[in-house]
Amino acid sequence: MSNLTNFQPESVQPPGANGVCPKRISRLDGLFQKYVDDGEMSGASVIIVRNGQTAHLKTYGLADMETGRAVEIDTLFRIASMTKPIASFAVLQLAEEGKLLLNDPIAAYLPAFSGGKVLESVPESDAFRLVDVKRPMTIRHLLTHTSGLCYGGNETLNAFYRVANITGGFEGFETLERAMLRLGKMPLQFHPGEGWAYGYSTDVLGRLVEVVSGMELDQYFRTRFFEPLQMNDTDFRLSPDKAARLAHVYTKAEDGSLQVYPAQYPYAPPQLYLSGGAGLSSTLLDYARFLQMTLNGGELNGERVLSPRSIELALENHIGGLTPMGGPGFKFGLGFQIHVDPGQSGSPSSKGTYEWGGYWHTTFWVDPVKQLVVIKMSQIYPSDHLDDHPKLRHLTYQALMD
Amino acid sequence: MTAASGFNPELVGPPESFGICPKRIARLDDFYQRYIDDGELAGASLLIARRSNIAHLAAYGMADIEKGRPIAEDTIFRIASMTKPVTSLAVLQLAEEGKLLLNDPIADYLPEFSAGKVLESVPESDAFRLVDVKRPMTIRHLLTHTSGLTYDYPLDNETLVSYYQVANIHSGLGGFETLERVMRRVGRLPLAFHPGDQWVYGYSTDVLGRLIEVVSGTTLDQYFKTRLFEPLQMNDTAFRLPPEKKDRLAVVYVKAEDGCLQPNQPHQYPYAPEPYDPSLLYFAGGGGLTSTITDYARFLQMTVNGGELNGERVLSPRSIETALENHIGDFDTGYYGGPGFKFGLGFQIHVDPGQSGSPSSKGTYEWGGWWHTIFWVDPSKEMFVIKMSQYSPGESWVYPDDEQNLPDMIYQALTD
Repeated sequence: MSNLTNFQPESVQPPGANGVCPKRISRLDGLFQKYVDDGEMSGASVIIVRNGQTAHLKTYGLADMETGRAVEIDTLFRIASMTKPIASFAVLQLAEEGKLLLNDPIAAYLPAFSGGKVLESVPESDAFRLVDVKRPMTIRHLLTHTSGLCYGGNETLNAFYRVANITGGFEGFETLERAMLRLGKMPLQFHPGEGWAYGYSTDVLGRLVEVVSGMELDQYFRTRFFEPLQMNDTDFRLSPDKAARLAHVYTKAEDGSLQVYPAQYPYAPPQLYLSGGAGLSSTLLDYARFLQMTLNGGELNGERVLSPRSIELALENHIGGLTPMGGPGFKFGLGFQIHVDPGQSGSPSSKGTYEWGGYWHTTFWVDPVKQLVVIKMSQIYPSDHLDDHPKLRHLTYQALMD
Repeated sequence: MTAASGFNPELVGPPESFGICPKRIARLDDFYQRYIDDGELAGASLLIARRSNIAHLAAYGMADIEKGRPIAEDTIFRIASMTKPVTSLAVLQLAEEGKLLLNDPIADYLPEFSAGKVLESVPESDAFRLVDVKRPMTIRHLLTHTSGLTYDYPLDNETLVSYYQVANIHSGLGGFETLERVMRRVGRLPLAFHPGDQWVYGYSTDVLGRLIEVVSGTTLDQYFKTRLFEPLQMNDTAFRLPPEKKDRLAVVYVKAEDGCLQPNQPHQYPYAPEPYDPSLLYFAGGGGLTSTITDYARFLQMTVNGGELNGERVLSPRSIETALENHIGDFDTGYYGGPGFKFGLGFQIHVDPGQSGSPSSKGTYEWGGWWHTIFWVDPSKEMFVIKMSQYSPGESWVYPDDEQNLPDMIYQALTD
């Protein structure tokens, strides 16, 4: 690792540096230009950092198809679930200060989560019943998505989420504090620790950070991460001048054309719900700073935000024999999915690669073996028709010459 | 490994410069001469490379007993299933270009593979039924022999064999129909098991050959030529042998009833057209190539170098690394390797010498061919070995036992 004290993601290294073959990496341009030309996506941007230096920084297509505004290096994107690693690391900061322990019951900090119930199906019937949790839900259950909270389950469970008016998790017009009072009473999909389900867990952690730090979540993120890491374009709410740099979300209409998808946040006030699970908007370079900090063991350009051991701990498999969203070959750490077996997944990433993505079709991964950080931003929903994320991965690795 | 940009398989030895004891490696000469003197093999050729150099290259016996033509360095052999690693790495090239993904369903490219069925036995009866596959067959299932496709030779499932027979799916070593035509029938064969549920050797790599044709828009022989054989200077490797090379091809021998070696006859199992037969149209990605020992050494040295040879890069280092992972989880390779062996993308992988008892190191990758050829690459020892001979066991499946003994004979000669 070079240049620990001077990470400048905006300065692109000359072709051929850091073992990246210029001819092979240019295959990415053809790939993304084709998605844009074929009308499969409006635009995208990609950064590839190797050994702490930017090897590839490219933008493709448009951020606003109506006005013809191109995707730029400083275009803002709703990063949705790429908020989760930041909220998870905020919790690790508080653990480093002795303000909480990862195995503490969440109810010790958020009393709404005491008296947890699991929605259990009655065998050989279509009935359900509510039973007491076998063990309390801990902070670590929330960090690993083994809490039993989810984004959706069976119809009965979904009905509970509906009556509680638990929203999509991106934004909202009530505070975290108020929303958590209802989420704390939500029946769980399984007993804490017994399953893996993606869900609102990280929103709960956001509220935990508020309660333990005495700050609102946006204030906490700003002072403890975004300012020290110079992530000046990352926030829950956007000022009007920055909103003009935001990429629109597009969707494929029935006629196959791309139409604006109604995702009004993060500029429409009042934006009271600060979602630790999905609320942030950011830029390619800002998120690269965050990820390079993790690869550096908790510091960037002389600013330390976490200890090396906290990062290492976050990258262990914390879910034992359970399987996360990625499927076989993947496990889950504290805020990240961890690639543990390339032979099971078929992914070219090294063992130990950590990664996640966002609902509006953003993705990232960090490969410590190859000293590699890759982020791709775009804004489209749904994105089931796109295979750009696995192709980006393959085309990145085939360009590495060591 | 050094000297990545100067591999020349014609420059040989001396073995002691590469950690091989000359006296001990000479034991191999006696070892192979005995098979020839005993009439077990007509001839054989052996190459040992270490640290990017050829440490040992020897030819024994005859390529053509009847004509008195000895095995030479440039003798051409039918390498059969040693075609599979070539085809598999070609698929990885297309993945590198973003033209396919390893976990894509094969039916996305070859529609005849949609609507897959599994031939399932009905418990407590001798009946079978066809059921829908639990999951689609992917390119990676085909690369790892977990697709559910098998070969046509007798399994413990006569019903399945009869499907292969009525579909007229031949041995996979060559044929008179194009890949395109044959694959239309292979795609409709019932599978022996749900994709991903078992490891069974079979036609999978032939399907990958057709996939390469469809995705690249060129015939498989052309693709191999331009993307692998020309850059790697494998000038004697092809599906079809030009007439002027016919006299360099080794004859396949079989044991006649009297115990004598006789040239394999067209009526004998398994049947395949000769590579010089102009009506050969089936480019078998699973078993169709002919090659020489030095050509195949170039291919293997490329894998050792992480995807390049003498300045020509055909794959990235990470693609080679990915191919050498265990991609079959808890399965093993049964008859072909058994406990201690796994399968990557196109290669068998030795993962546990303590389970297998084989002297090759953990991480060794390997395969062989039906006509009695074999290779292995041992990254820990910076070594690879290729042995070529031409022998058909017919339906007996019994070969001379030289390949079983070969690893011990090689490793005993290494001094580090």
